[in-house]
Amino acid sequence: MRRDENALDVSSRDMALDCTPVKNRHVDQERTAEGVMLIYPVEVKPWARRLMRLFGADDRPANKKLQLDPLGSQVWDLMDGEARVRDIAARFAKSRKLHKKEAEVAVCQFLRDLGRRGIVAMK
Amino acid sequence: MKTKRATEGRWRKLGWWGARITVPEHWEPARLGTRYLLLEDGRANVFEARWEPVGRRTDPEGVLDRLARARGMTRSLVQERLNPRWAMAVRAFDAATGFSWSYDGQSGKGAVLLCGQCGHMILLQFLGGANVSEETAARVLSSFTDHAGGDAVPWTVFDVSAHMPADFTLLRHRFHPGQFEMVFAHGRDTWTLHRWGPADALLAGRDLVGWSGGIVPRLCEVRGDPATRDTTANSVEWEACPGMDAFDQLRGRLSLKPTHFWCHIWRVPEKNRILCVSYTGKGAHDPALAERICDGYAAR
Repeated sequence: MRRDENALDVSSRDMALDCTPVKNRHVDQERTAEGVMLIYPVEVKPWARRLMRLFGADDRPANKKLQLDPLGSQVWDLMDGEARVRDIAARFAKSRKLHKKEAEVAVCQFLRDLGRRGIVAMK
Repeated sequence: MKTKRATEGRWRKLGWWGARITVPEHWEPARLGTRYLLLEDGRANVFEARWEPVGRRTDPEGVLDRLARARGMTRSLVQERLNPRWAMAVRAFDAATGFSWSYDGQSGKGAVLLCGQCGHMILLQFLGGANVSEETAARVLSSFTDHAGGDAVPWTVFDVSAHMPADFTLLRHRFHPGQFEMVFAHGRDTWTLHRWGPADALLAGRDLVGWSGGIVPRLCEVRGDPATRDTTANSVEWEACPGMDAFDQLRGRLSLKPTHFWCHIWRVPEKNRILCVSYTGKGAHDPALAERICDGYAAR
């Protein structure tokens, strides 16, 4: 007998799919030939800020740029603050003729990456 | 388990390691292993199948006893007779016994079967949180076969389907978003099935030859630069083999590593996928075998 070891994995992914991604309002976007370029603020650690101040450097939050490829840009455009991850993955899968689970995994991974950078939050 | 839920909706066939099963369309593989299949319905794991060669003398009750002892579940696992519906569903097997268990907040109900034809012991179980109806369970059980008849074995998972010769063995597999790969051994040769998608985004305005020119060097594990042949808009073949001079021929013969590479890459526009069959071996590939594998490989 094999225990249901994967139960937590499946249910946690199910919960993640029911979340709604919301864009950080401090993130700017530009359209480029490759897709969407995101410009997002990077928080400086307090100790680093103190150090920068000590040396007279500019301690205001710096901006970073992230160029999304066409697929990432499409997912970014599907985020309207209302659609759940599940809905975004379904629309993405339909438009690209992708397998449903494949789209869900890819969209979750993409949103996790954006979340780590503080570009999106989940509600 | 619910008993009055109808088995409406669409169903799909899965094929893995010789076994075939028909399941509701929304059941997807959560884990795939050697003669092992765990399916989920998007919310929880629903069904597990394991089949192994054990010989014809083993009885299902003995297997259950050993499993329960090995897992420390002697108290939680209960052997029981199969209900008439399940018994009817698995009547093709030589021996069968039912079981149910509840352990650590989880539960399951299933059957252990013995296939007299090939000596496989089969464990099939529906996992507790899934609420699978008796009707669905019976249909799933009745569709299960643990060995493929004929000289081709179906490998059907996610959105790919292949019929590989029966003497091929799966060495490894990878199902990552955008890229699937199944590597088979045939003697000392390897045959690999690839699938990429979405094709329109991958190609991004390039033709198939241009795109595959960046992929093939990564697939090709032999000395020498692969060259194209038989190129069309949606199909291209690549090949690499030792040079024609005596030194290259001798080095190829003495080398323990594969010396020949061949692959056929084609685009399936209606599915937005790119499929590929590749060969790596000591000798030139068998064109008839390659054609047979390519013909049996498709995007669903």
